Amino acid sequence: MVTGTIAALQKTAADLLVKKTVDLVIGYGQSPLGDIVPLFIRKAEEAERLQWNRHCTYNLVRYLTDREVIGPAGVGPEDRKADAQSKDTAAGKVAVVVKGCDLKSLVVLQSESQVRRDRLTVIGLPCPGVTDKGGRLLAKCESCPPEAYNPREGLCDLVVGAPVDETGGRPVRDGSFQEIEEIDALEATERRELWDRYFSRCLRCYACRNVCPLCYCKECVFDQHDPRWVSPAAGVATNRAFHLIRAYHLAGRCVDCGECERACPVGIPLRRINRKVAKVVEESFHFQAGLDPEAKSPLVLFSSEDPEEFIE
Amino acid sequence: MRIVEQKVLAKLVQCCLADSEIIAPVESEGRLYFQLLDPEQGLVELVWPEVGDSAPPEDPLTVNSIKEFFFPRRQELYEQRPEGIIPRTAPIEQKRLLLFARPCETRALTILDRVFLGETQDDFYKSARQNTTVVGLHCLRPDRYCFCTSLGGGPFGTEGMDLSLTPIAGERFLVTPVSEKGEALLASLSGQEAGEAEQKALEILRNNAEAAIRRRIQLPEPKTMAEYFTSEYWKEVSRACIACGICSYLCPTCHCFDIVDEGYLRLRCWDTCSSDTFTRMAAGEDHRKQKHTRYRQRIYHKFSYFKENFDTHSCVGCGRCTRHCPVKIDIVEIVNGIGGLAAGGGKP
Repeated sequence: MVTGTIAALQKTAADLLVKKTVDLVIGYGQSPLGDIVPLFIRKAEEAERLQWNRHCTYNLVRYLTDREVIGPAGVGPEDRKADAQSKDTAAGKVAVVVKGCDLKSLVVLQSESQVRRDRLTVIGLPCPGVTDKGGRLLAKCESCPPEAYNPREGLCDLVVGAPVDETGGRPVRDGSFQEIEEIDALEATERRELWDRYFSRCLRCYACRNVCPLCYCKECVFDQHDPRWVSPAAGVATNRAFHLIRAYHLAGRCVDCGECERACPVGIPLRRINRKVAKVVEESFHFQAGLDPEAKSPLVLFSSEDPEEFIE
Repeated sequence: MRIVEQKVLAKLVQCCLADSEIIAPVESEGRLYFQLLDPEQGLVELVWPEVGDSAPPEDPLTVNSIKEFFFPRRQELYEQRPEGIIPRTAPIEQKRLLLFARPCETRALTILDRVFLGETQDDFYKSARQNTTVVGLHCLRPDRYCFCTSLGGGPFGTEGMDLSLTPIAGERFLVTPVSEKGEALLASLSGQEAGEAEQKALEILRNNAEAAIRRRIQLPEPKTMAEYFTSEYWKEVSRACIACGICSYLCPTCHCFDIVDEGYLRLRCWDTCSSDTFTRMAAGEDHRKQKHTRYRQRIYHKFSYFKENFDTHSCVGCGRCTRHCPVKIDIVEIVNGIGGLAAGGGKP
């Protein structure tokens, strides 16, 4: 990631704001402590605060469905009632900075009609993989398919920076679900023990859900008070229910951006749950989420070709 | 002050395992957690502090704070059966030993005391406090998120401790009793009394640790806080917030809870003001619908309301909220920002 890319990114953002193509740019910035933080820019002169380096892990697509960020008439689906009730006048168009993995979650939002793509400018950044604080490549980057290193043409409006064509020391993904198969090979009781050990640590802080770009429900089932479907009190049984229900809600949708696992303060390997479901969807319906904005998830479709092994 | 070898301390802890619960830092997949030691496993899981050249550049802090051993995440209160009420939570009678709690966390206990041991006393909390001996551990290498010194604490603080430990080279500790409970515990630890040389060494370690904390939180005047309550500032600083509960749940002083029913069972569980269900009323009305109002609540509770009610701030500067925030929202930056705005003549 050369400084040239940062300069080009800053210029691109400033241009978009000057020409009034958009009135908000969502990108990466740096906090005074030196941490990478999400950055929201409305003025061209602020564009010089934009950053891009190997610690830019966040999936900023998450903010596209957050009305408090984008304003009532932003890029989200039309909601005339909310638009009329809101006192905010920050109606406008938005530009968002994405990596290849983030772009996939945007594709799912598009296919689910959650963003008005014509009001959105997508700035793609070729990505050599992002790292944790210790400089270690994130696990999700190790299993990232090489075709996702560079944001896909046709899905981005602008691409900034030179394409990444090397593996950058990354193992090239072979499309396997090896870590999932290892868990599948365990006895049922061992699997339960393994997961209960993780789930018992869950604080029910909901960071996994709130950081997820695809958990955009206006009212989450876990927040409903009447009836209260799942108790909010952390406990192995209720935590198990929470994680399994969330996994089902992401079936055929999760693109493995890895944000849930990164956000989890107690180290629950959430990607393994979602990858297990993705594996089942791939094997049963030959479908991968996040590749085609026109494609619908097999879980919202019926086809006479669908496997029906579960019906005896 | 006494010089005690690690193996002497280990022996004592091993003995305590027979009749006490031991709460201590345990490692799991590269992170430390305060956890009950498994009596079967003994001290195998316990993570000892490191000093010397091979020690990590920063003291590794636990993810969770010690509050969950006094104010549990999930506390079953009673069952409401048709035939009557069956209590589920009994006060703690077992002796407990809390090992290697950092000064910020033990100080947080004294803040929680004001809430749970004030006019209305929480029986469970009270019994947990009475039956727990707190063995604190001084910080030699605070990290860049720490800011305890600007809130009345310090890396060598002893508030809330019964006994304090300062790790020194050669797998030894300088042990200082802080309370009567601590005196009693120290009596069972053999070692040489510390002399002037150790006193001096301790002073140097303390100065170095205090100097390593560069962050300062500058608390605005109550009047300024009040003036900025309706400021647009809150929208700006909380924009990236994803409204999860990490900051509250890992905080050693956040103590809000909810009462919920699971079938016949009534229980108390942690709750967080960042959640959009926190202030939802029975009829669905919610006066903190927007996340900036919820984030503002967290700041005002810590630095304004709590100060008014309990004459202290409900923050000890452990830095967990920023360290573990998924989008690195920085409480120090935000609080200092109010003062900065006011000083610059910014419009509230």
